[in-house]
Amino acid sequence: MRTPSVILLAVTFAACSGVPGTFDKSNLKPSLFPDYTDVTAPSNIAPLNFIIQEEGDRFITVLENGRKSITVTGKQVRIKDRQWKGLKKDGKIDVSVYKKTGSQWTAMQPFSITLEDDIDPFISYRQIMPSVDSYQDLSIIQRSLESFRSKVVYSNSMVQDLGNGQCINCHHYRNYSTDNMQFHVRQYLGGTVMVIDGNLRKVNLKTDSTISAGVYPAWHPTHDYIAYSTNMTYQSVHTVDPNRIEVVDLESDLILYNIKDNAVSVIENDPDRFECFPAWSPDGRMLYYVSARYETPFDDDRMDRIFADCRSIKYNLYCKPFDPDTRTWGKSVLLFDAASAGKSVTLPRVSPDGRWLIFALGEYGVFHIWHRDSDLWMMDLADGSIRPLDEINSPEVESYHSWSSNGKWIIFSTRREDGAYTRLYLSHLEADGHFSKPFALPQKKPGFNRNYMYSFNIPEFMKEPVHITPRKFASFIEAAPASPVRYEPKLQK
Amino acid sequence: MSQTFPDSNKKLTQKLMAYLPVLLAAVLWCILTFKEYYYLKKVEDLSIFLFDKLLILESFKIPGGFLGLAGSFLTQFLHLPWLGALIWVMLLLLTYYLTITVFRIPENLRPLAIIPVALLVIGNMSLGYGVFIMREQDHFFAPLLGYLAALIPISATGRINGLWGKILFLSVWIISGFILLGTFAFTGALAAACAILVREGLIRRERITLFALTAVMIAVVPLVIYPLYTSYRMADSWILGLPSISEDVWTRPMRTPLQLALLYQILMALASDKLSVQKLSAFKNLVIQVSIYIISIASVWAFWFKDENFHTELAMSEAVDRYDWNGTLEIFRKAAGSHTDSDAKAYASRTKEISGASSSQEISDIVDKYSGRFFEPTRTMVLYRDLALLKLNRALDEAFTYKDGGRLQKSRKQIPMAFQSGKQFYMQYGLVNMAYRWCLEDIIEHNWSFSTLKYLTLHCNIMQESDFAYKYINKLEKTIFYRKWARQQMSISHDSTLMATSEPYKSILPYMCFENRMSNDNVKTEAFIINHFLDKEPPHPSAEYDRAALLFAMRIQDIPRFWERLLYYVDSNDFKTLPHAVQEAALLYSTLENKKTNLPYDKSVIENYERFDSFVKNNPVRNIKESAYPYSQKFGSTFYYFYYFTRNLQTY
Repeated sequence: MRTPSVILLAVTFAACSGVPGTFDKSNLKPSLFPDYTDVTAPSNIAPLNFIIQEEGDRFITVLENGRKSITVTGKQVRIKDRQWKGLKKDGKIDVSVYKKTGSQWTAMQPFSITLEDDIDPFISYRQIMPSVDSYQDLSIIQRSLESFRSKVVYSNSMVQDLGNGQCINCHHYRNYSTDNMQFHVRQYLGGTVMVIDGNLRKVNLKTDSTISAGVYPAWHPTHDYIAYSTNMTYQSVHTVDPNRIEVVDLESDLILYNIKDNAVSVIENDPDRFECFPAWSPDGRMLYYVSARYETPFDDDRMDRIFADCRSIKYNLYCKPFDPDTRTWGKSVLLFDAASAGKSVTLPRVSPDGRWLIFALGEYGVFHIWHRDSDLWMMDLADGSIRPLDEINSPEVESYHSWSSNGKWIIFSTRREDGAYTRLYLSHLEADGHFSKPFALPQKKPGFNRNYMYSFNIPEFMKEPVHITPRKFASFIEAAPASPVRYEPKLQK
Repeated sequence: MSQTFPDSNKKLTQKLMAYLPVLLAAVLWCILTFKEYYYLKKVEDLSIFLFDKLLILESFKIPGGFLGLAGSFLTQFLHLPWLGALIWVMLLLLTYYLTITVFRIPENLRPLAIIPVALLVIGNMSLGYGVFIMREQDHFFAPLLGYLAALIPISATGRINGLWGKILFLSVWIISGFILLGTFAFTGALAAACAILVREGLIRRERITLFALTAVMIAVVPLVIYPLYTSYRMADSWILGLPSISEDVWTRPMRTPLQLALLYQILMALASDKLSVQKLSAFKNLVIQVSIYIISIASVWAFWFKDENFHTELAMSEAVDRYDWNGTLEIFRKAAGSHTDSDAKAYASRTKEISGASSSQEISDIVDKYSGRFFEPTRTMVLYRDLALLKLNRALDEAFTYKDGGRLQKSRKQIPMAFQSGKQFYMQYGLVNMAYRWCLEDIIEHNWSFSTLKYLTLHCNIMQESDFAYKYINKLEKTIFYRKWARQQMSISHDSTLMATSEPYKSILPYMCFENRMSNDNVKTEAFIINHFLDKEPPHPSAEYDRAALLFAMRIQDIPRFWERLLYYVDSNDFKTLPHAVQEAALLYSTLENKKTNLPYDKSVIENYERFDSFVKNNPVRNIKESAYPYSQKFGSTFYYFYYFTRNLQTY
């Protein structure tokens, strides 16, 4: 509920043209969409355009940094790139919003935008319509964070026809560089498409000894390995629950793909456990992953039982030492026993300095994008303490997250805006280990997120754009068969 | 022998022939407006046009998108079928007259211009069930607009002097036309090149230059432009803009009439110089003209999808969307009633044929042969009817007084009920997440539509997610015909009390007393709904829920389930006497099970059952299909008839 505004005497603004000469002063900050009030943003970010969500007849917004000031009229505040660059220079922008109702102007409480630490210039994400089984229109998009430019990396529309659908997912980069990247294409012309030192390769990671092709990837930071989960994934619909859709694994293991040898070996394949979401430590000597214990026979009713019991399937956080030179594994260590707290961990991602590990925590299961209770939590790997990222979380879903290459920023997916469409938010890691107020990825048209009918998931930072053209990817996917991989027995220290 | 007409007759004939297209257009408009009212409504319901910059920009993601946008813009007017039909018919008339003008068709051969019009009408009106699975929902207008647009280069090059001027125009046309109109730009350019060739008397070198350049442009432009787009396959570059359907089996029949119309343009361009007035007698002229008209009209009539069940389904669907439950029933009753005489005739003919049969196999073959001539509803019709009866709280009295059955769709391929009407059934029975799911599938498989936006809004409101609802309401507010509805929904989204008293919510919410469970319908809507209601009794069932569950227990003819659901029904419903059909089922089942019940049967129910029993003894059934009709005449409105003669129906 709004507190009554305090009426103050007229104040004169000499410096800013277009600013009303007299006005009341409100003690409330303006309601904005997206909410950019008092955020810390990267110093190289694109203009933070917004809509003023206040009742009023006229609006004036003044953005200034002490040396430079710009005035924007109207509810929609769109800042030109050149002006934004000028404003950003001093690291802080003060924003004042004035609204006129009838003949009376009111100045809302000013707010500021702090600009700190550069962010990687690009992200990529998958653009997808919320769906259950169908996937006609999927694209991997790369977006400049310094501007609003976005380009398709690859779209399934370039290859599939009406009778042959193709799913694409899990784009991933080695150390934020696009010279080594991968994504999967499923069903039609399926395989894992890899760019290895700029060269294209399409492989079929499924072997007779593994349960599926590779799914969730983690590219080793120093050696030519990619850890994958292998998953037998199924979806179901909640008849009335607000979570709507449930995604479960009937089986899942972890494998290691040796790029040089074109061979896969098993990391974890306990039939009574679901292992998933591998993530490397920055030195590549530790693999983090999640795992849930669930014992049930491998018979025709397995799926029904898993769906029936899905609320009791809870994933814990583990780590497993790895020697990249000898490719040998140590024993898994339980890092966080979420199950005993009645929770379930997914998506561990370690900060580039190796200090922090962020994961998504929900009540159950592994596919938290459909779990409204899912929040981001962080573990301090220095002392093992964990805490919910309350400064970031919302009542709606927070799920997939990535660290910027300098470890100063995270980007994460959330459904906070409407509960259904996944949107991307950024937040800054402060020196004290807390995050700044999260804010929406800026858009040229600030109302974009409300109007756009696609979700954005799997946000990943990139130091550079993908150099291979969509057409080249499409031609390659069409032409190249997925080459088989060799299976190697498990290596254990 | 030559025949001549008197001058006065000749003039009258000429006048008649001149006005005939207008007369035919008027007839077509009447048929569309009055006979195809619900088809046009459905075409509009499954289409989308928003005054939304984002949507408009999205349409340019693919060459030919502008044509689709224009088609979608016009399709929205089918919301008022008389208006949409009028626009369409006027465009068809324009097509007719422009075809004459552009191809310089002489007066005595003008009926030739009816051919593309007939093909375009066939393209739309032969679609039938394919309407539910079209990929682009602009298909009603876009092909017609494409045809008209393809006439532009033919006409324009006729007005440009000099070969190089014409070639330059064609080059510009092919590039810009491809971006805006897709493949129609190519057919137009080809036809224009043919017309230039025929009309301009070019020398050999010029001919080669013209055709080589046109062909190269058509071949190369899509290749050059392709890297600018990421939304289609290169191999599809030369068919962009043609209607597409998500099932291959439908694509060719859908596209063929349009492709023929485009081929017609090329042929007419080639023939345009040769279409000089032949010195034929007036009679011969008339015969030719009338013949073209008759063949064209006959073709349209032959390909027009006239299936009655399809049209009944469309009408019932529209009534369900208006929550007009009495209307839904009335449509079904009317459809069934209109077959009383034809059923009787079919029975008489069949009886006559059977009397001459010598073996039971022969009888069985005759019965099968005639089965299609008796009225039988589709499962979709039955489900709509049961839904209406349940909403009116009359199902347990009346559900079995109507004809039942499971006639397959008269369709190239059976369209799953999930795509046709899944979201309606799921929503109305309170399975709102399933309705949501099928909206999503529908959007991805067949694009956005007014229909999915409406059902998504209902879903969000029921789930009390106002921010989510706003997303869809905001879109519907950008429409001409759904703006008011959207604003109503906006008020409802913030007011649960208003929701509880507004349709359709007030009749959906009582069904939502069940506990959540996870499930997948495997594209079998009816089976899913039945299993849902019969799976597990909710902790606090509503009267409506138990009524539906009892009805479905009777539908699947499962006796133990019936007794179980009857107990639940008795617990949650207030009644003076058990509903009629329930009494009939209880009496039949207790007799079959030799079980004594102390249920209070109406005297009429007992008497009717005794009559049925005695009729069975005197008229033994040797073949269920054969005996169904005579039994239905006496006991067609009883549960006994349903139990014995409507068995093993497949659910969809």
